Amino acid sequence: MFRPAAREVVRIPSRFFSCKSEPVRAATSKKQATKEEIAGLIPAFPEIYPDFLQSPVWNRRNALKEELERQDMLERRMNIDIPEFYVGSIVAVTSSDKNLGSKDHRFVGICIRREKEGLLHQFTLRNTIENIGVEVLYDLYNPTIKKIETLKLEKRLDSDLGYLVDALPEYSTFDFHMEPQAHPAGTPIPVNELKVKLKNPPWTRRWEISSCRGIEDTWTQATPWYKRKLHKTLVNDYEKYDLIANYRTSSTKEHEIYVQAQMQKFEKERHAAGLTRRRILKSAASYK
Amino acid sequence: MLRSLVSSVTTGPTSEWAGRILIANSGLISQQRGRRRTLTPVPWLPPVKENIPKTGVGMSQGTKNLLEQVIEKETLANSTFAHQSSQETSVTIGDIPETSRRVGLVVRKIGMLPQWTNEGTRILCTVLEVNENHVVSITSPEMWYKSSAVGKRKAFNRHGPMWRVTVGAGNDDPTKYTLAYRRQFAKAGIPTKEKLGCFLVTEDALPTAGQALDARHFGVGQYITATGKTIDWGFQGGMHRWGMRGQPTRRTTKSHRRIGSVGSVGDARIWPGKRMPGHMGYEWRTVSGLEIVRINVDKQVIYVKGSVPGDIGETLLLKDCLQEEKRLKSGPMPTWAPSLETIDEEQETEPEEGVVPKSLLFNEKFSPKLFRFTSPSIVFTDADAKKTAGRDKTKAKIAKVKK
Repeated sequence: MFRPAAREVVRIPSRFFSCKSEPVRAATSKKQATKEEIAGLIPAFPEIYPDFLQSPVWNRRNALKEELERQDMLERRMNIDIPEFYVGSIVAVTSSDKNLGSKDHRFVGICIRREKEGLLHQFTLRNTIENIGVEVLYDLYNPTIKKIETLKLEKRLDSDLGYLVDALPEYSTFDFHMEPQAHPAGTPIPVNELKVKLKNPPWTRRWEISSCRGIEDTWTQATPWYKRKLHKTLVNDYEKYDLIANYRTSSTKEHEIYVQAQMQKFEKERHAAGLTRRRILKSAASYK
Repeated sequence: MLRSLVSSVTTGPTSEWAGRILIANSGLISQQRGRRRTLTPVPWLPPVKENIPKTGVGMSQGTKNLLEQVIEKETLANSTFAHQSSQETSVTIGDIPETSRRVGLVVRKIGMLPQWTNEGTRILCTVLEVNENHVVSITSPEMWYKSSAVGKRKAFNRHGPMWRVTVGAGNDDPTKYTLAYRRQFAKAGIPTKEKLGCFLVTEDALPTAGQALDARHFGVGQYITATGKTIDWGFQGGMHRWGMRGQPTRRTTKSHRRIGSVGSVGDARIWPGKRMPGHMGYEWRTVSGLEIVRINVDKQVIYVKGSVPGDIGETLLLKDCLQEEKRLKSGPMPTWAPSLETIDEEQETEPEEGVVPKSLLFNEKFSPKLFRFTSPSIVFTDADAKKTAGRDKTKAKIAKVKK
C-alpha cells in the first residue's frame, strides 16, 4: 500500500543538550542555566571543582567518607584561597619546604593535568627551566602550600596536556616573573586554540593515534614504522560512541547540586560566625 | 560471611584449623594440610542467617501494620534498655595490666584518605566506621570451648581463662532473620545486628551483655590490630599471586608471565606447596601495629595510619595491639562508657578571635602530630632547616675530644 511521505509526521524528541544548528533549542537551554544560577549554582561546577566530584570507581563512593573529607577540604579552603584554574591555565604555586627554612619556593608553569577526587586531588605544573622540562606534581590540599595564583586563566583544547613533553620547548616555557593577567568577571573563560608542534620522534606515546586536538599534524611527523603498524593497532576510537561510559565514571548532577548546597551552607555558617568573608563557591564566568 | 567471621575470630589470628601454607618454624619447613579458604559456612557452628522469610507473602495489610508496630516498639525498648545498661556499668580509666585482654570493635572500612603531619609529610589513612556496636553475649571459657573446634588450649591459655565476647555491629531489619538468630539479641536487649564478631577477653576486662561500644574505646595515638578478609582477586597467575619475575620480553614467545620450571628431574614430581597460579585473596589476615591518628566522635569514625586487609566496605575486627612496645598501657577498662565523658571534657574557655567555634566542627580527637585543616598553612623556620641539614659539610669532620 502506498503512503505519501508528506503525511508522515516527524517528531523531534525533547532533548536537554543543544547544538549550534538549533539556535531555538540552544536558547531554551540557556534559560535553564539561568534558573540554576538563581539558586547560586555554578553550571561549570565539574570543571572548576574537579576535587569535589565523586570517585569514578563506584566501590569508593561512600556518603559518610565523602562528607568527612569534604569538611576537611572546605576547612582548608577557608585558610587558603584556591583560585579557579583549568588545564591550560598558567599557575604559580608558593610552598614552604623544610629544607629551605623560612624561604619560599615558588614555581610557575602551565597546568597540564588535574586528577583524582577529594583530598587526594593533584595537579601538575610544567615549565622549561634552563632548557630542561620540569613537571611538579602538587597535592591541592597539602598544607605546606602557602599560595596558589592563577596568572592566566584560560583553557586549552584538551583535558590532559601530556603531549607537551614531546612538544617543542617553547610551548612549555613561561616566565617566572610573569605579570598576572586579570580575567574580566562575568565573561566566559577563553579557550586557547593553540596547536602545538611536536619534536621529531621518538615520542613518549603514539600521538598520531591519540585523539588530542591540540597537536598540529602528527601523521606527517610519525615514523614510517608506526605508520605501517597502524592497521595492526587496536584503536579505541569507538569510545566516544559509548554513551553509558560517561555515566559509569562521572558523578551525577544530583551529587553536584548537593555538594554546592553543602558548600553554600558551610560558607554561610562561617560568615555568620564572623570568621572570614572568603567565598569558596565562585566562578569567574558566572560572576554577578 | 557472617559465620565465617565468627568462626575465624574465635580461633584467633593464628588459627590452627585453617593453617595450610608452608610456615617456616625455626628454620624447619613444615607443611600444614587443609584448605586456604572456605566459601561454605563452617559445620560446627549453628546456622545464623538462613531461611530468610519472604516478607509480605500471604500476609494481610492489617497483619503487616501490626508487625511493623511491634518491630518499632521492640527496637525502641531495646535501644533504651541498651542505653540504660551502658549507663549503669562501672568503667574507669586506669592502668591496664599486661595480662588483661580487652574487647575489640567490629568496624567497616569506608575508604582511604590522605592526612598531613605538622612536619608536612603526607600519611595515607584508612577510615573505619564503628557502626552501632553492642555486646551481644558473653560466654565463659568452660562453656565455649566445648562447642568449639579449637579446644581447651585457646580457652585456658597461659594468660588465664579467656571469655568469649560476641559483638554485633549495624542494626538491621529483624524480619530478615530467623527466630534463633534474633533470640540472642533479645536476650541481651539490643536491636538485631547485621554483623557479628567474637573476641577473647580476660575476666578483669569483661563488659556487660547489651553494653554499647564506642569509638572512644580506643584512644588517639594507640596502636591497634586489624583482622579481616583480604581482597578476593580470584584466580591469578604466579606473577601477581607470588610476585614471580616472569620471563623476558624479547626472544620469548607466549611465556612472558608463566612461572617457569616447577621441579626437578630426580623424583619426577612436583613438591607439595610449590607456588603456582591459583585463587588469590579472601583469606583471614591480621595486620598489627597500626596507629590511630584521629577519631571523629560524632560520626564514630576512626582514622588509622596505614592500610588494613580487605576492600572498601568489608567488615574488620579491631583489637588492642599486643606488641610489647605498642601495647596499651592505660585506657578505659573494660570499655569506654558515657559516664567517662564528663572526665574527658575540658573546661569551657572564652572563644578566641579567628578560632572556629566548636559548634561548627565535629567533636574530634587528633594526634598532636597531625595537621588540622582548621589551622593555617605550615610555615617552616630556619631552625627546621638547620635541624634537617645535619653536619656542616663545608668544614672538616673533627672528632670530639673528651675532657
